[in-house]
Amino acid sequence: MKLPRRSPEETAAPKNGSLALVRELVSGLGASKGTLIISGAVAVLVGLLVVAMLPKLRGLGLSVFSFGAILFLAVMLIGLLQPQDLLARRKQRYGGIASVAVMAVIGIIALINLLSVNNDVLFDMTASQQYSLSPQALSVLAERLDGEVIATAFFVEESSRQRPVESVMVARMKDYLEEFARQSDGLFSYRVFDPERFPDVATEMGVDQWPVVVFEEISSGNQQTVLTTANPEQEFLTALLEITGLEQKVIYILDGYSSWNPDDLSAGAREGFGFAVQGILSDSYAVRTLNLLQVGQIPDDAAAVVAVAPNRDIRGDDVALLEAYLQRGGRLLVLFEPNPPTTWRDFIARWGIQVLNGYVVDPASHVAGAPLTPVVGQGQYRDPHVTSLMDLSFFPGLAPLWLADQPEEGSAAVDLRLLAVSSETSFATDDLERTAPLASDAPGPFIVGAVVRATGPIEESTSSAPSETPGVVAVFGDSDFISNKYFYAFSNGDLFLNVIGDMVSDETLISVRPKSVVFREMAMTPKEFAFVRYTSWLLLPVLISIAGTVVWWRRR
Amino acid sequence: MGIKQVMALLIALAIVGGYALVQESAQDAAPISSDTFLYSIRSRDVSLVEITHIGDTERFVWDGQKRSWVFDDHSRAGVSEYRWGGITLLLEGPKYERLLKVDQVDLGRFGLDPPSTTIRVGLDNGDRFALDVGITTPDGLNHYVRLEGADEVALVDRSWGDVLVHLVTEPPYATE
Repeated sequence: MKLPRRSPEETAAPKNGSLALVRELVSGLGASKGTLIISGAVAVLVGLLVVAMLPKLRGLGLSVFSFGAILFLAVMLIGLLQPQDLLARRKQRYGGIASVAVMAVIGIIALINLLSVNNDVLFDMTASQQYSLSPQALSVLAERLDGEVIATAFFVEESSRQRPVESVMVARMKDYLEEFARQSDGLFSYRVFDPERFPDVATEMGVDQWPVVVFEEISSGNQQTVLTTANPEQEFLTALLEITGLEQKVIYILDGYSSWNPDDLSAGAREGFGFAVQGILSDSYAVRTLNLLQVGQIPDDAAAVVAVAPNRDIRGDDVALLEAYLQRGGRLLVLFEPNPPTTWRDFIARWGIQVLNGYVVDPASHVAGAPLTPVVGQGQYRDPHVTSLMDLSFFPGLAPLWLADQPEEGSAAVDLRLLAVSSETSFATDDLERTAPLASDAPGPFIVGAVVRATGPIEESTSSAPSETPGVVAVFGDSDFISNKYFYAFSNGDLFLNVIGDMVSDETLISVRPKSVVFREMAMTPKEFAFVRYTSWLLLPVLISIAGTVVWWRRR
Repeated sequence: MGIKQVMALLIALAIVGGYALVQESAQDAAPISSDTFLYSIRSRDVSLVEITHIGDTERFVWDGQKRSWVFDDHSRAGVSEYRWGGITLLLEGPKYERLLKVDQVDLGRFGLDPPSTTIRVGLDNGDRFALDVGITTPDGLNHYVRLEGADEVALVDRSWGDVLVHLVTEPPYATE
């Protein structure tokens, strides 16, 4: 170590006593102060990185951190005794400034980390917003919970004892419990027990399998159990609604008039709409089928009745039931296919919408190679309330719709809203091979979907006072867009679910929904994983070090 | 930053990186054992089995002259080979699903304070040890089992404990 030159006064001073020892030590540091300060700062940084990135080496990391902090502070302190020495030389000054800057950055990062732990905020950056609660869930948690609800989750702590799929589900369930608690303004809380470590708690709550979450409303003692689920949000919300006694709206699927199957969950099904039913369930409605021939009435809890692809004549009694239901404020959604039975056309025409013959051919806006599959884009949506933020939607085999005649005065119609229309160049034809219109073809644009609110059949003039709650009839000229094959394509599903939300006046549901969860994990072999790990740990620092060394060498 | 600082940084990086590498390599090299047994003995070394279940006790000993297991009472009756077959193999060491660290407070939670069943095993060399068997896990798949004096409780397949308890509830008398 190169010793600094001493002044004559120092040389002449007596060398006995502790003061002399400190002075000797201070002056002995000399030119090494800068190096020591930087070494201390580096040790602090390395120690923090080790603690943060290598939990198993936490002890070593803390030791390195402590050593660095003590070294840094000691040298700084000693430097203060001789400020002229510390700051006298340019290199030392730069070293000191760099050290202070490094410490400041570390301090800022530590403080931000501390603040983020104590004030957690969720930024859902996923394309499908898969970590965000739906508006319905937020509404229930923030506004409709009256009493305290506690969820008791039973998860085995050792993830190695869970099947891989199960551990993913448990992680999602934990995330949603945390998010529910965060959004509930203190009324919802949760706790987690290991059922094997706390068998008494599990037995007391009647738990004999897991993973499971038991929801309980404290005041009423109502309990609801949710087993492992791939869709925690909907299951949790349903459990909340049930234990708190909040009314769950029921959507009835009209049965007996169509060969389409609401229970079909096969991905490519063209006459199955199980995905659409799942979508309704995900919006926290209950879904039931309704066969009017068997039941003979429309249940009082019906929030809406949906008829999909009716291809059998509707019975007169059922028309009477549906009209009575609509006249007392009911909601009916009918999704036609081209050339439906006349009885259905007549029934819907009485409520303002005509179903014309043939198919819509749209030369200007269709799926490539399929003129019989019109595409509707932003310029063709007509109701921003329902269709804002939506992407394209398309309708394979679209029946042309138009307005029905209605009396000039005294119409029962309250309002009629178009949801979407085909392009100006579209036309209706029965010739499925033709892509150019003839003079005899009905010219477009046609209504793709519309919503009518009316106090009664609008073809009949009404003189009576309108009822307080008009009935709602929504009509689409196509059913295929909600089939399993097309439901998740573009905004087809959103359009259908938004219309249901609009019909049942659930404002919170008018949105673009999160799509199904996408598997985004990168699957790697252990060797690939090790390569990625070690290159990310070592490659960049080594490259930066080499670059720094080269720069230093050239400037030297 | 001077060469000394760069060198210090690189040395620190090399030390930490090397240490982490060694640690990781050691972990990767360690075999993942699926043989998780609560203890391990040889079945031929077992000479005494005593099972106490809710106050009832049955005691079995190896009779060297008869070369068979007998009830350790005045009758010295031999056990049913059909019922006894495999019992000592079960006692070689039960495989467990999971080990739970416990303190005295937890034992009651697992039905181990006091235990409903205690199994005492004697070996030829005079060694003795005991196992406490508690309640089943809430899913009914495992028993809580504790080696006497241990601060860990093992989750052992329920059938293991049931077979041994059955020796008390229905003693394995030999049928002529």
